[in-house]
Amino acid sequence: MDERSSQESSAFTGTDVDDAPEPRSTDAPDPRPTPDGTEDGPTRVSAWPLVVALGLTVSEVGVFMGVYPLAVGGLVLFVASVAGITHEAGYTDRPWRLAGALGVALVAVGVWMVATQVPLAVGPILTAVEQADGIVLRGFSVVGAGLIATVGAVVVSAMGSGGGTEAFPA
Amino acid sequence: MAGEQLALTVLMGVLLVAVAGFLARMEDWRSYTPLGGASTISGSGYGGGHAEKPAGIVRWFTTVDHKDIGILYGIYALIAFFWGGAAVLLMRAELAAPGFDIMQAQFYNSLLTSHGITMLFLFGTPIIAAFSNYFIPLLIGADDMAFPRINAIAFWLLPPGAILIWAGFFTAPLGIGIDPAQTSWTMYTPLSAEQANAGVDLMLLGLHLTGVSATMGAINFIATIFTERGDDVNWANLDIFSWTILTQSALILFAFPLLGSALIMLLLDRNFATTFFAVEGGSPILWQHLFWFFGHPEVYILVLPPMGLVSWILPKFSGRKLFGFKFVVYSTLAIGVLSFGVWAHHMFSTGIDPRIRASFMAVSLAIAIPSAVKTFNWITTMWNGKLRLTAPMLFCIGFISNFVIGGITGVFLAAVPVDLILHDTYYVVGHFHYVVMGMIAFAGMGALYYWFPIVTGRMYQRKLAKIHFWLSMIGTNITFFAFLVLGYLGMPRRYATYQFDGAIAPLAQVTTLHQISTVGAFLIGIGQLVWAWNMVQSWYEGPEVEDADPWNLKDDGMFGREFQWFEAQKLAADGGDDEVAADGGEVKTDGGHRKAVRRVDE
Repeated sequence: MDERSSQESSAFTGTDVDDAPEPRSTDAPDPRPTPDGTEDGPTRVSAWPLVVALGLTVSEVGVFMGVYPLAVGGLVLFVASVAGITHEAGYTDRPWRLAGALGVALVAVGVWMVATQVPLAVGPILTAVEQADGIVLRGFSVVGAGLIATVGAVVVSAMGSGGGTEAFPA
Repeated sequence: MAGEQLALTVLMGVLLVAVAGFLARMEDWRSYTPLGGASTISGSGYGGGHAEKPAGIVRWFTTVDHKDIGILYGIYALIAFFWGGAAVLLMRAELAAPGFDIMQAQFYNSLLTSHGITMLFLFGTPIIAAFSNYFIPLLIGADDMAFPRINAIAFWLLPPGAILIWAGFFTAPLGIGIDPAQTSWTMYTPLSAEQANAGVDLMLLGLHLTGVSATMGAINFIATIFTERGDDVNWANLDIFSWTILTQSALILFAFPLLGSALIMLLLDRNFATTFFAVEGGSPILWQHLFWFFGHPEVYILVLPPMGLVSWILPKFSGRKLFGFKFVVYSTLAIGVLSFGVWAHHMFSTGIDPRIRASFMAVSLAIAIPSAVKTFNWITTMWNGKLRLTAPMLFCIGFISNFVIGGITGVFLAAVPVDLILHDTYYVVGHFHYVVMGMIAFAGMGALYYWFPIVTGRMYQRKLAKIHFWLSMIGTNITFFAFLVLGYLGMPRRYATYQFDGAIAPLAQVTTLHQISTVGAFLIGIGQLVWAWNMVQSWYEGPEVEDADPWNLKDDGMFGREFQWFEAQKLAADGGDDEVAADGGEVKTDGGHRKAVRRVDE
């Protein structure tokens, strides 16, 4: 991974991520397939779409069916891959801030889910957890996924050197 | 319980690690040989233009090229087609005799549900997406879709969606209490809300994913057709297939989010004690309104692009331009608009206000007008033309023939008094199968044959294609005409048996007609096996297309943009050895990275 230049990390844009990222999916100007035999498409490859789809699927099944391991893992996968694909497309300079922000959004959603069932106080929440209230537990799985995403993004971002030579500049 | 949770947690951890590994493996995935193409089936119609993709299976998992995604859609759709076909052959075998002979009602209901959902959402929509993904950018002179990654996401949502929709069939043998859904494809409440089976929830979730996928694809096509057209492509000369895809995408944009919302409401009713569709809440009829407000546009979502395919292919073998092109476009737009104003014709017998019924009857009958415009324009295109009865042309003509029967039976059903008699009988099933099998599948097959040379670089076996057509055409008409007669005799839909009293209903005739349609269904099935053999064998061993004009379209001035692109590809492949800097891909050499090179013929 770290051998890839920042240009490579933008599979389509071909622009240096140090430049103002252009949210465009192809090189500009792009030669079009013309009858005269020239066709230079973008470098047509990205690992993220499959992962985004997988994350959405697993998180949907996990949260809805109340399968908490799938809910947490799926949401983390989804949030991380959305940040990754957004970065790759050149919409963000660094994926970590977006991953963290999405994590915070998940925490908020999870807290809201809990709040729809019980007042946000320690006693009632503990009671609901003891009674295995399905919606409260689902809310906590969403909160957990959000925390993992946020903390993970902060940690990884802090670890990076930010030299701009990595696939994911920190 | 704790053990299960632990196992699932471990499984999830393994999945996350696998994903991380998958991403890490991409470290040098842009290392490729300059001449590329090694990862493709030889002679796959590309002129060495794959230098920008990794080799092997990784290419297919990571591709964002519209052509590759089109192929993926196609393969996926055809797998689903065979699943749905196998389900219906089992059902027809069961219906060859009045009683329970080879399966019980629950399994029959499961097959019925799976057949409907599969053929509409997992075969119909994706097979259209296969053609549109591959060919729309070529037809409008774009280098790719507007959002290539979203295009790939839209595809990759489908396989998990299919697994969820079919989940009950895989889990039923495990004895964990998750059985296939038995709701029928319309998922009417209260049955679907009260059927205590996690398989239904999984199916609804899978269906929701396919809806998300279709919506993403539709946004992508709208953006592509609006913003990515070549300089020489304007609204006046945009091809008819692109027009139908644009209209279809607009319908998807307005219809599919509604399906998603209704599915979520149903899931909430099932799992969280809401009352959207409960008698004491929003009422079960609310589901029918919401569902059909999506469901009727869905019919046109499925049929407009096949109409576009026929409008594109039919002139090629008639030696004449499409007659009344402008009016074919207008009729497409008219059908698109009207499709949102007819949903309650599915609900004439639910007791809704007769005045409302009458207005829906009027709009439903009005749809016959743009439909007839199309039909007469196709016939007029062929009139005095130089017809060449190739396999694609045969499928187009069969399409029109089946549309006449399928369409006019629909006009009958649009009339309230007729519908009150025929509602929920086999007549309705016959009507829409003439459309979905006789039109959508036929146009898809015709397009598969027509574009086979471009996609594979080879030619299919013509004799097998003709056998495929005639088996399909005869089988379709035998099967579904028998359905129409069964409907007139009062045979109800969705029943696994028909053991009624022969004294009060014509049991002997009904049995005979069921047997006739079973024979027809197996004829269709044999035809598709011939087709599958033809496709696979020709893909690997068929004669390579030497000339970029395998259909001799240049003679009639019918050499379309997609074949012009194909010609350019072939020229590039056969042409000079000039190596030119390409698109920012990288070749890894001992000295590190340098710009990629590709062979193109300048």
